[in-house]
Amino acid sequence: MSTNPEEFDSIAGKEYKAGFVTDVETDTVPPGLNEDVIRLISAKKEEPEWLLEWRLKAYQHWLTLEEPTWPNVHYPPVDFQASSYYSAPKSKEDAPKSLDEVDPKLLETYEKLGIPLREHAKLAGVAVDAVFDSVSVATTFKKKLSDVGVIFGSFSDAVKNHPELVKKYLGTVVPITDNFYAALNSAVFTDGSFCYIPKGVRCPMELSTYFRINASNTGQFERTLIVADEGSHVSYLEGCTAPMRDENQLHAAVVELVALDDSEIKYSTVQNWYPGDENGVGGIYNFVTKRADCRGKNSKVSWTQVETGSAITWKYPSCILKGENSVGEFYSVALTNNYQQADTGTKMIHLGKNTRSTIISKGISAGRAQNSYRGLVKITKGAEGSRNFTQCDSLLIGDKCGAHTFPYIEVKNQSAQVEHEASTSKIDEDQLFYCRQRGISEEDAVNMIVNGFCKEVFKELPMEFAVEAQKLLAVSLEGAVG
Amino acid sequence: MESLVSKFEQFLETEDNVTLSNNSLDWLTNARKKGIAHFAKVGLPTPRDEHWKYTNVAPIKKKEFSLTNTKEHDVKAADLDVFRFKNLETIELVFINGLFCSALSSTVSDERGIVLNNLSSWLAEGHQQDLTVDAGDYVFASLNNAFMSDGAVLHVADNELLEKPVHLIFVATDTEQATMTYPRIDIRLGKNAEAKLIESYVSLGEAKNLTNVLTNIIADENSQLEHYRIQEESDAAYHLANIFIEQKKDSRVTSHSVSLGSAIARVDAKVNLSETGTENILNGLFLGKGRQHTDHHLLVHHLSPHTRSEEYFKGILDNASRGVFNGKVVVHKDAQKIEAIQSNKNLLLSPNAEVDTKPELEIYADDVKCAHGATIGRLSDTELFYLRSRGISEEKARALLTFAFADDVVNRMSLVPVREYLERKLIGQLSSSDQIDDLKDLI
Repeated sequence: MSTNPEEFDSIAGKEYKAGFVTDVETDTVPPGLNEDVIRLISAKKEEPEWLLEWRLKAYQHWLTLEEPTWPNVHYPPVDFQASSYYSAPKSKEDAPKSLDEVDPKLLETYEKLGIPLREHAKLAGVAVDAVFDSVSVATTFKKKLSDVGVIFGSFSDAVKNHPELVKKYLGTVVPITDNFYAALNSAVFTDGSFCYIPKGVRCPMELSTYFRINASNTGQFERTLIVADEGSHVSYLEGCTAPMRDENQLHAAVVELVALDDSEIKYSTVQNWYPGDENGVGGIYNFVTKRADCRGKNSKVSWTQVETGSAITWKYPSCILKGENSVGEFYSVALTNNYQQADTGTKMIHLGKNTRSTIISKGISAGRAQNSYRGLVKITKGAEGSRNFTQCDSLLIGDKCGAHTFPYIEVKNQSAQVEHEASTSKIDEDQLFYCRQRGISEEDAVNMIVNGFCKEVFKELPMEFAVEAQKLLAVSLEGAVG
Repeated sequence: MESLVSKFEQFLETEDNVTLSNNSLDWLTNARKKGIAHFAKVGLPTPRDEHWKYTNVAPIKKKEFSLTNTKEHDVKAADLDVFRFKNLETIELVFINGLFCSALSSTVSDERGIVLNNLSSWLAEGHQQDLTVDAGDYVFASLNNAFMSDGAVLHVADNELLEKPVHLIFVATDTEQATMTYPRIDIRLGKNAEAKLIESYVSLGEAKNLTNVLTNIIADENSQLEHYRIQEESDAAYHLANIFIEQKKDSRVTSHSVSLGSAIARVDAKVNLSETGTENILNGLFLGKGRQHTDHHLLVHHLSPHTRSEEYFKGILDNASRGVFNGKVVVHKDAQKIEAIQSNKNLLLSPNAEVDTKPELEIYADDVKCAHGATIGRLSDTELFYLRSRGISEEKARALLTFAFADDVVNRMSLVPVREYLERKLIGQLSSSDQIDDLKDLI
């Protein structure tokens, strides 16, 4: 494959299709972070005392921490005092009860993104808890869910309506002391999603949330907590797009999953935050802590992610396999183009007997992007008969990008079986030639090959997401081939 | 170990004990000063260092080792027979507690331009050649720079071939005061030159010494080197080694590292494939028993297009031993048409054994073929059953399968007598004595 610099310019010329700013009045606190801001956030959200104390404790701990520098990414230092920590759409007071009451400008935003909320909800049978900036503005299919006892809604509603559940599980998977960004999130998180699946219930539909960053200068700190009680099953989808902006925006979410005996959680993500322009200016900093705790026997958590956006991604969805026979899975496609940087991977901590984990990671690097896989497989002494299989492959497109692999494997039990394999190569010229000589354009051929490369991961995605993911990959790779 | 900085001044002044008394050489004095300055700045590594995450050198830190080695010893040529390779004629250089033993050694200095000598004699001959090694971040290499006391020099001139393999035997004896030695091995191959060199690290008795060795290899155009290091020091010893390899156009270096002994053994290999057409192969086998700790850290830089590297390491860990492997391949920008293969397979024989492995790839070019694999597990039940069903006792079946696992690495060596030597060693380690002969028949 010859690399033609002019062709590269043509990708560079591609505009970010989800880039626009909706002009909605927002209720924003002045930039800066101190205890008063946290008290203000807590007061605005009418939170109980224990949650405020929890936030303050997290803040105090955060002050003692230093920003981590070990990831293989480079960016100018973030000024945590320069961004505003709370922003909510004005229409909060008279919160809409149904879609008709939703600010039409918001709905317009979704239309522009190609996600007609109403249609999407109706046609796909998906309950959408749309997080527009920080406050949840539309919730659908609530009734159908509440009929079977599933609690699904915004985090702030859950704090009001189900404080006992929130208190019981919040911070038990990702404690406030976990890491720099998790501590920050715990102190200032504004909203997010909460989901509880009661015993023996199979959630009747796929749950999904669309995260958007809208108001300028607000770091977004989402908090998601999903609890699957004994014998339950849930599939949760998360997708993101964000408007174009020049300043870097910090996104430090925390996602906690708790799987009790015999339950199963499937968590799928399509991440398409604004990646910055062709010169690497702007774009979202996506520093996320995602962790699942397979507490119960025979529980299962499956992470599937398609990461195509963000200027910097720093994310390791992990599984703590505590329960006997519990299963952790991680399927990932991470695509970086232009000046994007991704340092992503997973951690599988085997604690219980006969625990199993599978890691399939596919990294695609184009332009001047740097893409790293960083993973840990840890078999502790008690994890008798546990099993891990890891495969991480990288594909390179263009001679200025990089692909890196940093797998850590620690085994303390001889009955465990751990396998790791990885490969890095460029697109096979023979495959490309084969397609070209059958009249397929180079771009289509590359798309086809890349899609084939990612197939193992895509097949884990729910149907409608899989289609979206394939399109996303094609759009993100536009012109990346010379 | 902590008092090393204060010992340095004294070390520079004592001439009688230090064989490299020729301190008038600028490069040597500078290397020593730079080395100790680096150590004084960073100190001994701790597990907080990413490269020392799994290897804690605290036991070494606490111990006191003597730098002053006595020339007296009662080692006889016959004592070393067990460490020699049957049916292989080698040129032998013997070092006892770090000091060259001329009575047991032979050297080469011929008109063809092949020089094989111990470092201190070579310097005493008045050679001015600068043998400085840039230690980079490797603190034990810096310490070797600071305290290098003797070692070996093998320089092969252009177009020359050294037919006989060189065998360097570093012997540690059970001295009253535990000693530390800092051997330096300098290997330089000219254009189209060819040589084979074996380093053996052995103990007589329960030697509690510390070896901190640095092997520096520079292979010029189209040269070929086969390098072996067999480390079988006593279980009370500490072994720290650095191997720096610099390869020029079309050269080929193969280095085998076998780690059997020492309480803590750490080998750091750094390879620079600086010019096109180079090939580097690193093979390794480590066996752990008792509470042994073995660590291999490899770093291969592909700096030029059309270079190839291979890492093939296997570990067998028994009892409460721990094996660490870290292989890193860096493909630099514009180094296209690269092939890099990395493999680390580990066998755990006991519930208390542990393996930590980290095969890394860092790639900044696109036209590459890089692959790595790592496995950790125990002996396969089906394979054991197969042998058991054919009337082979369980113990023997286990020994046989373990042996086969290890022999895979040994078979990658070209010198058959070395292979046989190691196979005998392996059998000795893997099965109880009464079965050795039996097993030999099976092989």
